[in-house]
Amino acid sequence: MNRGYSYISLTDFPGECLYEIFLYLKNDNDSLFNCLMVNRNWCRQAIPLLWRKPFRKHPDVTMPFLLIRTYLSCLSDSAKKRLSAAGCRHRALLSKPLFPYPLYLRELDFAELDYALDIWLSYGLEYEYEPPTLRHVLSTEVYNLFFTHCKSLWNLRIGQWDDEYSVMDIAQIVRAPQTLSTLRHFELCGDFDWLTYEDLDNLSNILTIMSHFTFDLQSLKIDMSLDEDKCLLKRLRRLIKAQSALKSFIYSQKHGCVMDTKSIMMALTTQSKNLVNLVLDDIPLNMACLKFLEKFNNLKTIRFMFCNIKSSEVNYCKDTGKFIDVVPDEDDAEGNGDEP
Amino acid sequence: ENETITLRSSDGIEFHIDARIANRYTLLNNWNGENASLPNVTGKVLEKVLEWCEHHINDPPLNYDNDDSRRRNFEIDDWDENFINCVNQDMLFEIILAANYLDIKPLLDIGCKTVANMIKSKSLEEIRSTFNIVNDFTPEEEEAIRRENEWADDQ
Repeated sequence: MNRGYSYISLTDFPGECLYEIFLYLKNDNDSLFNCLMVNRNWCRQAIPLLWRKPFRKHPDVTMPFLLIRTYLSCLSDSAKKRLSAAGCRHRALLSKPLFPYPLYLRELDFAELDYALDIWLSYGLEYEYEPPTLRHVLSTEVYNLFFTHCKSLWNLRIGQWDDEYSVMDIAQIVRAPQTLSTLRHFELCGDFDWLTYEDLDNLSNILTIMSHFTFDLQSLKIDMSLDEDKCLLKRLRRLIKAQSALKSFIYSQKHGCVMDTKSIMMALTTQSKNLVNLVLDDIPLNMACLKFLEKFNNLKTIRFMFCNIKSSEVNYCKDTGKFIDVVPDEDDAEGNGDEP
Repeated sequence: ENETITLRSSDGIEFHIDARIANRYTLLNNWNGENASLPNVTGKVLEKVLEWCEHHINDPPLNYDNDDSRRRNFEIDDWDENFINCVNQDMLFEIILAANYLDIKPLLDIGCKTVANMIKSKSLEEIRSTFNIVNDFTPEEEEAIRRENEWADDQ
């Protein structure tokens, strides 16, 4: 509708009200971009929202390239020197940003970040070959930038279903514990058999640090293959036990064994007062695993997906008075695999 | 008969409202008393705010978390949409300011959703002219802001 001429201008509208308005546009980068170009006041409120979750699956490679370019300008002088010594001659290293962009990061997926760094290396260098240590130095400095300056990281996803990827050693970053302490949602996924011993160590160290500093997870999603020496499962159990009020737990382990399921369920009983939503996907189960469900007083839904669960076991779960949703093995995974 | 309380706007207009309204919103409740003046809200605006509060007097109790998960959709119910569509742009901004000042979050949400809807799909120049905003960037600042955020510019 036409609301007519306005005598009140949004030029100097209080920042807190503008921020409230922009929150409705937090997933609309086009609108947020326009908002931040409007004037200084709007810019100050829109920038933190635009930079919450910048790493998305951009169809156009120029987007991750431009994104990394701005982040590189945020590096400290010493980090820029190290990159320069590793062979990086990009002009982004000569500029200073107007805003502390890494501060605003709320959601990070290691796979998306690594993809953006790969794109930058492919398109951002002004010569034809890639200096041998540059990839490692670039990753180290950018991860260091995020885990040192990010003020309130809420969502973290580590791992990918790929046979060629690495896990950065963020555990050695001095401020990593503080950054990991603000997490609300954590997702670990992938086939970790493909990782080198070094990468597996890095991942184990991250989980160890999280079990010491990350206490306020609301949701935890584990989607992994068989963990042969149980080193990750052991740390995941510690992480589960460390939580103060976990509400949602999604567990999928291809080729896992009943003992793994049982050990995870046992650890999960420490969250029995708070857990509301439980999804068990493609894992072996028996009655001993299900017995733990009796302890969960506030559980509203339990979803079994492709768990080959017997009807007697379903009936047992129903007797606990909880809502049970079973996706049987015969069903098409694509049609039933939506997350809650 | 329900108990009533009296609120006085910044321009001295008194409103006698159902005490249950004040009970729903902490700040209104705090202002209940013999000198219950709201120094930042004019009578015209307070009248609209109280009209909205009165309609929603029997809504379920408010339970707002600190996170921003409630700001996921642009849906506004029919009565609220009609209410907000009947005010001009000045009053819309005044209602947002008052709802923020009085901490009436559901009304603040409706106002903010409405403005967010007005922003969506508009070009930069359209936004500036719709909301009567002066560009106060220097050319150098504007160029730097555009360059640093260019990754989000899909146009």
